[in-house]
Amino acid sequence: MVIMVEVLYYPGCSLKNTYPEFEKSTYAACEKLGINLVEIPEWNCCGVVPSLAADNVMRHLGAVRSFINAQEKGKEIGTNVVVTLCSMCYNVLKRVNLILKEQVDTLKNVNDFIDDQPDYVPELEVVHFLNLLKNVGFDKLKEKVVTPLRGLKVAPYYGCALLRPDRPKGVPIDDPENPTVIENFIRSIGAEPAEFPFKTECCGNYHIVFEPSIVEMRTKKIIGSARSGKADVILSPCPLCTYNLQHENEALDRSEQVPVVFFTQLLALSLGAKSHLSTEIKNQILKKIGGKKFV
Amino acid sequence: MSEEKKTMATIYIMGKAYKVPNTLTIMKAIEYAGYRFIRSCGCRGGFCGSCTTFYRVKNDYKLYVDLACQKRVEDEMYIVQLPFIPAEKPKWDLSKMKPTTDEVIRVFPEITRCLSCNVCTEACPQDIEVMRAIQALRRGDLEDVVNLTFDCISCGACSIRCPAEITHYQVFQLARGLYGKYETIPAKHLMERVKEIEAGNFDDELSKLMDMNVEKLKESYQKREIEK
Amino acid sequence: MNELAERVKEISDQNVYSCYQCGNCSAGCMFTDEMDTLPHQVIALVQMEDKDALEKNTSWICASCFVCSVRCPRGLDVAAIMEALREIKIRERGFRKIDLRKIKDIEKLPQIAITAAAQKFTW
Repeated sequence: MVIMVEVLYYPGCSLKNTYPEFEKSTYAACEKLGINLVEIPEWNCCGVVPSLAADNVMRHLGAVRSFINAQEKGKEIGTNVVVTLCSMCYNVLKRVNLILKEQVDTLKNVNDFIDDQPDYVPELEVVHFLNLLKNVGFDKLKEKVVTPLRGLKVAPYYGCALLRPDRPKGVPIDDPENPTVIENFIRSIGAEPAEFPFKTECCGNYHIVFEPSIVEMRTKKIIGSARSGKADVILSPCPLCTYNLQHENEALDRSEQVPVVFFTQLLALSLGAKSHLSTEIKNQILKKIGGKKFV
Repeated sequence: MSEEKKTMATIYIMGKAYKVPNTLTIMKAIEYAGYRFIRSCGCRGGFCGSCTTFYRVKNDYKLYVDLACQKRVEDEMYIVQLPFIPAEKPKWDLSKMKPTTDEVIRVFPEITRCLSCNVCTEACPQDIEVMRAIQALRRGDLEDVVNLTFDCISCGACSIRCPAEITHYQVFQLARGLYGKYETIPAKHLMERVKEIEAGNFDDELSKLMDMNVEKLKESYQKREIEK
Repeated sequence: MNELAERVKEISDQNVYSCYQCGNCSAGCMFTDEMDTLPHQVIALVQMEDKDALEKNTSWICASCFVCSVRCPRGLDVAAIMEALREIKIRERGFRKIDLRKIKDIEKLPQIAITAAAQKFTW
């Protein structure tokens, strides 16, 4: 591939353990787009949910250690951009980075505590992959599409982590109340965004562990909304949302289910790259867009 | 500096001050002071993990951990020993598990509380990169965990300091068990020996030994063939 | 400022007295069906130094989705206030909200979910 963009890449635990297809489809798509994702060496777990306590320092450490490793690797390859795929990782890393940029005391505290590594100088930029694509340009992306997914209706699910909170400034990848970036992405790969008023609703997050009924209540409504909008698939940017939605799908009748796919799987598909979709879902999509053969 | 200062160190055992030769290990120094070990003492060779010792040194706020049988005394050392580190080992059946890091996390979900604080690494007397191994588990790299923790002697120093209350040595034990069972090539000579044992090749010898009295056993041991 | 509000401010850096009870947060909250008290009502309890605010299930049902914080016209981070109410309990010696060794259906749960619950409900 001709490398046009080289960035640091923070995978997160889900992409390495639970949903390898999310990462694999991304690498496949990046091959076609000329994006080189350089994985940060020895990255630590981000924590999934940021600590909202202002007096907290401990819970930032995993992110900071990852930043330090990113910083050092970034010096080698000449970039300060850290890209994430998982929206929960994006939310945590973005927020921790913003806190360290603003609060000199916290930065000093953290750097003093981590005495076995070089200091973190908060000059990294945390970017979600969707924003990376937006910066490259959706029109440029459209040019690279070999199999436009015409006929496929996709429900653009945002979830919470990409859009909220909006203070301090910097976290939302688009307008928190009425975002459009995923719809634009869907159009650029040739598909049609479905009418989906529940697109920014919360799936229930961590409650799946101890209060799954809360998640079931939320995901029932979200899937129901996608179904009302006649969506063929729900596009998901978040591994936890994906799990929660799939969990509910399993409880529904066949006719009520709406399959959930990662946005990079649809991207890879449209670029003629390996999407790592399940055979069943791939065939469903195939039927919708008119039976063309895929890689 | 007086002659004595050059060769002796003041250490505090159970809060009492003792002057001991500064070339001794903590374990030897405690015995020099007149104590007799009935706990926190084992192989004396840095291998069994029994003698986990905590100490502070004057004018230093840091809390240090080391093995009593390996660490030499320092002047103004304040020593405390823990007979063992409490841990509750959950039951697992390797034959019913897959060799993945997710399986290890299912047995020890508290691993997900890891904050990357690194006190575990600081505590380890075997210089193992403990935090790195736990995070390798989170990253999905079972082989990395196994390679990093080979030297673990289960002393428990990491676990007693961990704010997330992880019992690292048990976690690593499971990781190595899974890797050893499913990923490593079985040793052929070991398999053959196990077959010999199951076939009863050593039954006679074993029952002869079990029937001996203590005196006869001691005699046999002294007269044993060392090279075969 | 009363003691409870002071403690909430220490942990969340939010001043509950900014709240003028408009109810936007509760209107936007998607989890109110399960709550025994609405978010803005819990904030009122804190304003009145009613320790019952800590015993309501509101902060525990909260899923940290941040819609409340985005919609608050006073710019209050309501989600952070909920976190402070949780933290006050979690930091109490001997308080235990969850048992990580007793998770139902743990064979199916992905690492990300367990981590989120562990980090949210323990110190």
